[in-house]
Amino acid sequence: MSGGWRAAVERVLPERVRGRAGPALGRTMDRLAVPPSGLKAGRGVPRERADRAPAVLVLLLGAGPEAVERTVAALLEAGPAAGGPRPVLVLDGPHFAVARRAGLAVDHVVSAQQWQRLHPGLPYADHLAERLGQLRRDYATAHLVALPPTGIAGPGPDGASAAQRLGVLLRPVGPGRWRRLWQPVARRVESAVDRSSSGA
Amino acid sequence: MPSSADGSTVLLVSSNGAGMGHLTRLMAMARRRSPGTRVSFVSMSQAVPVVGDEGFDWEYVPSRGDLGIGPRRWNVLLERRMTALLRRERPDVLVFDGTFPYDGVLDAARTVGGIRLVWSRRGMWRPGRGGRQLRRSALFDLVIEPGELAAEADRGASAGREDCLRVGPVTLLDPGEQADRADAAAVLGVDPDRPTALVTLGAGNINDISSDLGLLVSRLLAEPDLQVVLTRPVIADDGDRFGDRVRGVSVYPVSRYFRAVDLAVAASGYNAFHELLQFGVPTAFVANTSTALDDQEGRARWAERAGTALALDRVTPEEVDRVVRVLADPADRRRIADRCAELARPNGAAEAMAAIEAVAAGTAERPSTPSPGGAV
Repeated sequence: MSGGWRAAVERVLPERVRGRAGPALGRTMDRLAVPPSGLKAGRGVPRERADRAPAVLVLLLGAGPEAVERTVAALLEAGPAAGGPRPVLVLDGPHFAVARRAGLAVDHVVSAQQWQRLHPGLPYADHLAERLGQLRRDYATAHLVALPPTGIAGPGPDGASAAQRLGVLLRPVGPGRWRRLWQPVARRVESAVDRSSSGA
Repeated sequence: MPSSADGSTVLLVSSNGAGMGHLTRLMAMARRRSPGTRVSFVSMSQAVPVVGDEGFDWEYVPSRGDLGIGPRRWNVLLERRMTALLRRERPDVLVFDGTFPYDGVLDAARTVGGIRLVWSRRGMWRPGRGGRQLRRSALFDLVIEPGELAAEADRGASAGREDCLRVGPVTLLDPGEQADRADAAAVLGVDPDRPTALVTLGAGNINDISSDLGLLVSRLLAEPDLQVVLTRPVIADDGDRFGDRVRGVSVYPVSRYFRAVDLAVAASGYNAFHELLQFGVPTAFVANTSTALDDQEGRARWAERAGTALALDRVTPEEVDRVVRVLADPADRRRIADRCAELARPNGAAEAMAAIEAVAAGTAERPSTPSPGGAV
């Protein structure tokens, strides 16, 4: 949207009407499976570079601070800066500050213990499946990697195999031809609409 | 959050500010809930796990800034997340503490229905900023304004509005909950028989924090016998570069240990400001000028005018020397502490929580006097 057009729209349309464009646009982007533009992918990774990379959910449940730290370091090393996808780290514990400081996107699911305390009798697995479905939709990704509590490169065979599995996904795989053509256009539209809004 | 057998269920939602103010205010209220009231937290602050130490359940929701995405897309994600959460937990009342009630939260509450809304809306907004979101006040069943000792200096858009319930300044602890000097000194790692200065510049960016900190600590260390305690977020990257008279601590809430603190240099965010003044710690306030809406300069200058603290407008060698000279003098410290005691007000957290519970029970009356400017 050019500046003049935007100003005209803002004069003509009341805020609450303009505000409706946001959810509608977001939902359209979801249906087209375009990951949110600008999604953080590590400190210092240029936005354009990150935007070209597909998103991957990395599920790390029950991890202690060292495992989170190790995993964050490994994800940074293998992320868009190295030609890989942009990871969204999903934790159920309290150690997300380390990921935030590193400039990675991090999201949260409640832990099995909290779930059982609050909803005795309701299976945690069902809740987790629903949340992961929502996260996959939110970040428009088909890729989900579940790591053991020791994270990437943790001690033992579990850690090694997780690193291998993640390594497969972190190989630079670009979008298909149609999506390669569509994604930049979609992101430009989204950015233009976002620029027209100063709302939080 | 299953329904409580004999009380209401309250969901406390905080945005991600420069420090922990939003989260701490909500926790202050939650700690004063009635027996039977069930409380849980949803926060965009990375510090949210601290509420778990008090036995509260919590969920973290990434803020827009932490994802790096645009506001419209973020509000869509937030709405979906909150809708699922509200459907699952079915709170009676949702309390939002932040300066901008997000579309994603409000739309989710509307979609789910049957949830009453309360806005904990701190005052002291920067003059000329933030008027637009005040129109959202009308969407809430109740607006609570946590008290502000510096209220007479409030020139912001929310000043003087009558659409809210004003309570006393909200602090996490009451004086009776503080550790005694010996225990507090042990936790802070200092000698209780020597004077101690606390330096807590907050989690936000105070200009060039590294050089400001260096200047402050060097000058404090020029006072013989003075020990210095730095809060950990400030020194995360600096380690122990200041030597053995300086301790780094990572404790929450640090106000529990103020009885071992003789003087302080602190950012003038809501929390630190009110904790230090209410507990009578002689302080020099350094305003964080990078906050979007919080008028920290106004707060610090009011405190100096009122004689309850000093304001460090600029962190220069001359200014730092001026405030440290005053704070290093026991007679001046006593005078400041006495003035703090004169102006101290009762903690407003219990009153705020009682009002929230009344809203949950459907027995609250909404302040309805027209507001200045007719913004509602």
